[in-house]
Amino acid sequence: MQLTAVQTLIMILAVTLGVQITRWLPFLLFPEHKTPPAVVGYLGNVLPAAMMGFLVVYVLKDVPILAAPHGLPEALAIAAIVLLHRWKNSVMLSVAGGTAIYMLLVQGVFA
Amino acid sequence: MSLLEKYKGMGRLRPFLIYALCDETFSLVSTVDPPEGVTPKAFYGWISLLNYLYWVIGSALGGMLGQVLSFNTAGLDFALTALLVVLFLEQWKKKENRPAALIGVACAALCVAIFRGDMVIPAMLLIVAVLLLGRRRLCN
Repeated sequence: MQLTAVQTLIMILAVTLGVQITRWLPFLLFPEHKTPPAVVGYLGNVLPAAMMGFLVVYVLKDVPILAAPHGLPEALAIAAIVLLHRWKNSVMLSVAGGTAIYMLLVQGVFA
Repeated sequence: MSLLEKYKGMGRLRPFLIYALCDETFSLVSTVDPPEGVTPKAFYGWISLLNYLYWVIGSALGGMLGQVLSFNTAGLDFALTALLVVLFLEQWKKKENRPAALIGVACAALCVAIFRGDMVIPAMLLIVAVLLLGRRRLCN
């Protein structure tokens, strides 16, 4: 489907509006000088860990487990990231190293 | 909501921090604490500004050079997966985060099984519901 310039612009504006509303809403609802209800503080504490778990599953959800190579490159790269992170404990190194290993695997070993 | 506390006392920087709060910035800011000798204001401000610039510059470059570029980028998109795995591990370091982290994984996996590609909204609702139901136990 080919979009006209106006359609493209409207889509960008709609997405922008949606994004900005979700970013500002919590801060507008619970301004700095007011103490938010305890349940909000609770969710603020537990949500980051839960969301990180959710996001890991989310980015892996389209990995084809049933077809070759059965998610093996992903599994190996993640295992490497866990080891690398335990060893050096550097966010930057673990991300870059894990990505490099994954690229080697999909371009070389499982190509 | 997780950042209400952290973004207190940011003064004139606060509107920019909120405006520029993309996924990547949120992930970093909510997981990694400012290193010793770095003020929270500088730490959060620079992460936000740099991520914002990476988005703008990266997208612009990609749009202009995407056609010309020819090296094999297969697998490069795994960087996002790698980042999220690392941030998950960072959360996992704190014992009290582990139940919530597992709830996130389990609810998301369940919703992938049921809803496939449409798992985002149901999974988020389920996670919040489970977290609220388990509040007593998770607080202890």
